[in-house]
Amino acid sequence: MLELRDLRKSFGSTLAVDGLTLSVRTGEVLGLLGPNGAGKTTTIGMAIGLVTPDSGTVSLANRGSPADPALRHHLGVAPQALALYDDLSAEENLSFFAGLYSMPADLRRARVSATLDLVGLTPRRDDRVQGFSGGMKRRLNLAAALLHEPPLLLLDEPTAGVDPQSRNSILDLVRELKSRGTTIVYTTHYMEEAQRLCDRVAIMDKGRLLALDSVDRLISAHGGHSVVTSITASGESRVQTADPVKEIAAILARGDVQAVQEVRIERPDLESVFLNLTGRSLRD
Amino acid sequence: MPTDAPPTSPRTRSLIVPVIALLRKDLLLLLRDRVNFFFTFFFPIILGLFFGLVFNNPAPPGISLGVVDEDQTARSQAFVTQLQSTEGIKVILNPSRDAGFTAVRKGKLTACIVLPKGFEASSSSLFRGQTPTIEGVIDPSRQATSGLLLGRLQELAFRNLMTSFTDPASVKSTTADARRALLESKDLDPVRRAALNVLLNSVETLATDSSANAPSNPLAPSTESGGGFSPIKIDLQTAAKDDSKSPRHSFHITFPSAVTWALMGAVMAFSTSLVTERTHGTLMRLTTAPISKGQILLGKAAACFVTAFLAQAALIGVMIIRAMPQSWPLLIIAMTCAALGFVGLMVLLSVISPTEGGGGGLSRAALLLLAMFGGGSIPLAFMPGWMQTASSASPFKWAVLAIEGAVWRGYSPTEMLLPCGVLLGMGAVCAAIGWTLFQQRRLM
Ligand SMILES: Nc1ncnc2c1ncn2[C@@H]1O[C@H](COP(=O)(O)OP(=O)(O)O)[C@@H](O)[C@H]1O
Ligand SMILES: [Mg+2]
Repeated sequence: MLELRDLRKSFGSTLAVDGLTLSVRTGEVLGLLGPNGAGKTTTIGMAIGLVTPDSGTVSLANRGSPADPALRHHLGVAPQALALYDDLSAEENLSFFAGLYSMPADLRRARVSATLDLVGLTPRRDDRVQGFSGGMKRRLNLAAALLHEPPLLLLDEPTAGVDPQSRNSILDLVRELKSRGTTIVYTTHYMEEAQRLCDRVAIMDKGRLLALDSVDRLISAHGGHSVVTSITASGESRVQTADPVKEIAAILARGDVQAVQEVRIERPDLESVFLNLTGRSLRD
Repeated sequence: MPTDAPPTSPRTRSLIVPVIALLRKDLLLLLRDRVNFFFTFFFPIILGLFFGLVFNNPAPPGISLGVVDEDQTARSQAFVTQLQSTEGIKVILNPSRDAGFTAVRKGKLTACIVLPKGFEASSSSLFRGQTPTIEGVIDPSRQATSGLLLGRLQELAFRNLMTSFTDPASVKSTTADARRALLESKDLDPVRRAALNVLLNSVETLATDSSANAPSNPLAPSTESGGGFSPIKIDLQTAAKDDSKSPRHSFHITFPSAVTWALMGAVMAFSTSLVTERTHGTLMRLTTAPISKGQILLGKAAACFVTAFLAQAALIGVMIIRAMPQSWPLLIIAMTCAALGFVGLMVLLSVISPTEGGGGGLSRAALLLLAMFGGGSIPLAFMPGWMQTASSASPFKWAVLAIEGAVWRGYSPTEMLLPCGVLLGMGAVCAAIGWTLFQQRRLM
């Protein structure tokens, strides 16, 4: 669906993206996970033809660069920086963006209504964006990318600065879009979101792609061992193991089942993967 | 919206629909931007009205009266001399009836009157019922003053009449004439003849008596009423309209001048809008939509054109409450050319202004200066000669000139070519430079 090959981009002395190669498969949700400054937004910018790479190529649906206006029908973008007209209402914003895609007026009205519904902004359709909460603006920003039902959707930090309720509704929406067959590139620095949503996750740091695989395989390859904690009358014991189930069975087999008060498994997550790959925490 | 239009090819659709969407969006944003909206639409109207009313208010400017003396007699010359010393009337002697009437049509004179051959003869034959007739024309836009002018002329004639009653020589000659006429009219009723003889005698006595204490200044304001009797007949016609090449109302000056501010408002409102879109992030949506850079610029240009045209139309709409333009078709052409010229300027400015603050401020200041020199502060018609020449460097001047050409300067279509050509040429050059720079530049 989208091929990025050996992309490189620097701003002055900052190397924002450093030789990134990535292939997005049709129908998948691909997560771009990395801390702030990892180069995610720059990567999206190059993927949609907004930022010219210093070197490397981008190919959209095997048809060439998305800088070509004719190919832009294939993609929808929800930029990290909100791109909305504050002085227009939700409906006027969407209606304008739909106009850019040359939709006939009746289709445009239908699509605007359906999209407002999808992001739950129908009750506020006539209100100016100016008065919207962060979450509402994010949802409208996302809606603007969905209007023309693009097969490829690029969402750059779609949950930045939103309340938990809006975040959940955005995550539900992404799942809904995936179930309709949309290919999605989802950028985030929240590993929970990547873990919950993504079929595959690309871990980025300092402009480089460190690993790319399904969440489970990333964890088993780079996450390290699970930690099994058991609490008995005699105290607490922590054991690192590759096979927590076997470890629990062993604990139970060792002694009096009654004596075991609690057993906890701490599975490694993407956070541990990032820690193991970079030596730093994702949250730093 | 093009939905109801005949089916268009998808290619044409995808060219036009986004531009219309951009146009609508920008107009909507302008409508909601109080500052820009005010400065584009209301401020110019306020200026036009304010100065128009201020300059119109102090008592109507004096009457400049052309006088053609075809009689060339002592009496007609005396009449002219008396007119010259009448307050509120400036007398300009004209060699011929044609020259005088043309001057009125061109707005150079308020009115022009002709003292015809036989003026002296007719005014001395008072009692023969032959009232002297003065012909004249008046500027249609100054009809309000026609009453005043007529009043003044009648008053003067009355005073002359009074003088003739108080000047023994004049009365003697008049009564002698009358007596002769009396003798000649054989069929007059004897009783009436006797009565008239008595009257003429008493008039002569009265004149001789009162000559001693006659007013030293025969033109001192007279309060006598004519009692419905007119010593002269004045036939004042309205001059043919339209070919006069001078403003007929202060609005004819102040509203075309205000056009500079309307155009400036439109240019200001849109020259920073690309930059605003960039800083607000919306430009990135435009660049990721399936439209070309050219369409983005075209959308801005279209919105600016509509705004510039409507802002001028609003001004003209207020102007015509008091003062009509001479030519509607030429006015619409002038407004269109002015709008197009300034759209070109906007395109260039919007492309070269690098930031919302700095570059915008500089182009704002430059525009302001050009507008002031182009007739925005001092109306073109009131500029000293050197300044009128210098103002040719300002595109605003050509806009004002084109509008004035249609409103009161009486430009022919050929004369219109110059200001309109300059506007279109300037617009084309600016737009071409802006377009080229824009195509070379990355948007984001
Ligand atoms: N337009 C730009 N000019 C200068 N530096 C930039 C620009 N965009 C990004 N950068 C730098 O490139 C690096 C990557 O930024 P970005 O792609 O925004 O990362 P992320 O989206 O992962 O937070 C950062 O160090 C950032 O400061
Ligand atoms: Mg980012």
